[in-house]
Amino acid sequence: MKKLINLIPILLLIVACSTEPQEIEYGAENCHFCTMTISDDRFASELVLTTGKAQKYCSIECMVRDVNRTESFTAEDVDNYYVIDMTTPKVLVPVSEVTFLVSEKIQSPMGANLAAFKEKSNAQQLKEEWDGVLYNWDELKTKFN
Amino acid sequence: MIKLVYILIIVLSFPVLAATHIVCSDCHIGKVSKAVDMSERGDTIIIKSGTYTESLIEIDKPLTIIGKNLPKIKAKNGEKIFHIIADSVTITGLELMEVKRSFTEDRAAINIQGGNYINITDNVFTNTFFGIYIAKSTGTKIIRNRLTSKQKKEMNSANAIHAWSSKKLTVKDNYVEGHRDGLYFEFCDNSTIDNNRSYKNLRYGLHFMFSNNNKYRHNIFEENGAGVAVMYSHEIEMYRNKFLNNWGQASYGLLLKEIKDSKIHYNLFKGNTKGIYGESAIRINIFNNDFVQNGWAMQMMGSSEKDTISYNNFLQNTFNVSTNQNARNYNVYEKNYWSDYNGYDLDKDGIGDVPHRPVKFFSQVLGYTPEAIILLRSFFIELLNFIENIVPVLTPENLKDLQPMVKQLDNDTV
Repeated sequence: MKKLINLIPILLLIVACSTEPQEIEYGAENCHFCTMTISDDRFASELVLTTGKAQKYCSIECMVRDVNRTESFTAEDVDNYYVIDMTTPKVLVPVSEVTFLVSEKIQSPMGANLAAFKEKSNAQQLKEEWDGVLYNWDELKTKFN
Repeated sequence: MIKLVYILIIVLSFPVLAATHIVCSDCHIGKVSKAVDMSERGDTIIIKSGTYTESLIEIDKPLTIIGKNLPKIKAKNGEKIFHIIADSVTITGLELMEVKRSFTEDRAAINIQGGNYINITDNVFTNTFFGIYIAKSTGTKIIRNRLTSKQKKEMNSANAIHAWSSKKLTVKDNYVEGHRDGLYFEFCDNSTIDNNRSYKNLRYGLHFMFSNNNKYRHNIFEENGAGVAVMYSHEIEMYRNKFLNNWGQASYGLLLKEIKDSKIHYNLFKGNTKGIYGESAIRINIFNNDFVQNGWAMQMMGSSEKDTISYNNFLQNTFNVSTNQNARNYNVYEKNYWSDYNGYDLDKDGIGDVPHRPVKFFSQVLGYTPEAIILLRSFFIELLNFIENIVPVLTPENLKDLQPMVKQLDNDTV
């Protein structure tokens, strides 16, 4: 039993270092890249560094631009990238699980007309309806490079 | 032949016969949408007072819609109310209400898609998601409207007046309250924004993105999340505006981000956390402004260059200027009045004989460790400020006003 109690602080430490995405406080936090106040909960994004530090962005385009241009961290420092499915605001989803759509009908915060969708069928349907182009994460990074 | 010419002149001189349609709840036209369907180009629709519930009204021809005694138009199922695709449409004297949020559609009470020379005047917007949404329009005028929203949370509200990819807009004498951004301009050029009041909006009072050659004058921005943000734009003229009480941890009176060749003249910055915050603000003239009782009057980051800061009054600010540069400064500070200047003027030419250093040691320390603010009024900090003033280590040596004014300037901003 005593050994078990000793384990608790260690467990707590592990939890404290988790690299889960942090909740974004809309209207109070500024975009890490463009300094604009993060306000639209359909477009915000976030990346979590391996140290557990979270960097929050007002839009997907700001995160991609930061990733492409910054010298303050490299791809190896990043644990994961998260974006929001436009149809379910606020919920952060890893970029590997989403499809990106660029269409003039989408007014994303930094002018790139870019949104993410968890269901590929959803993205496909809106692409037909709105006339746009679909991307995955790697293609998106190349597009903004 | 002459007869023919006569006839031609007579025929041409007849005015185009435009009809007037009257809408009221017990008239034979009881719906605005019906009146619009019945109208021909150039007709006038008069709406008498009453409450009308309307689903989307598409306007595809030039029309004049006039409300008498402020008739109320409610959005059915919270959808858009007017969708304008024609030129030369006028909408005046209506109260538009209850447009609700949609995740995939930017819903507005009045949606202008490509129509030019639209006049939206003297309307009231109550709890509409977007108030007026302008896309790909030229020469449109938005005058004397009142847009209020009761949203407490930023994501449930949108912008009061939102303009995208448009030119030569006039936005004048409007009152906007409680939206995300009061006035929003993205990819909009050659527009004039005069005499508006933007109050208690959740993000910015006025927001420019990728918009060039615009003017905004005589506006009041009060108690917004932050006053005005000018981002990724150039040639913006900011004249005689008031930036008041924009207070909060991440708040500014005026945020300049990636902006070039602009003028900031005769404005009043009072009671803001930061009067002006500049990042990559290049070739900006900041002349004749009054900075009164702000936390920081100006915070100019190192990426801001070739700016000229002259003839301003800096009055009772906790800090006047701060920067994250500690080696060099690439801006000119000249002939300002600093209320904490303690030099002298022996030759009585109105200009202090000792240069003034507006960057305090302690404000630089705060740049590294914001928590140190609790030491603000301590004696030790005053001592360090004094020493830094004589032997600059943390503050850029050449950031100084060589000709500080000894008397307050009369900028007449209040």
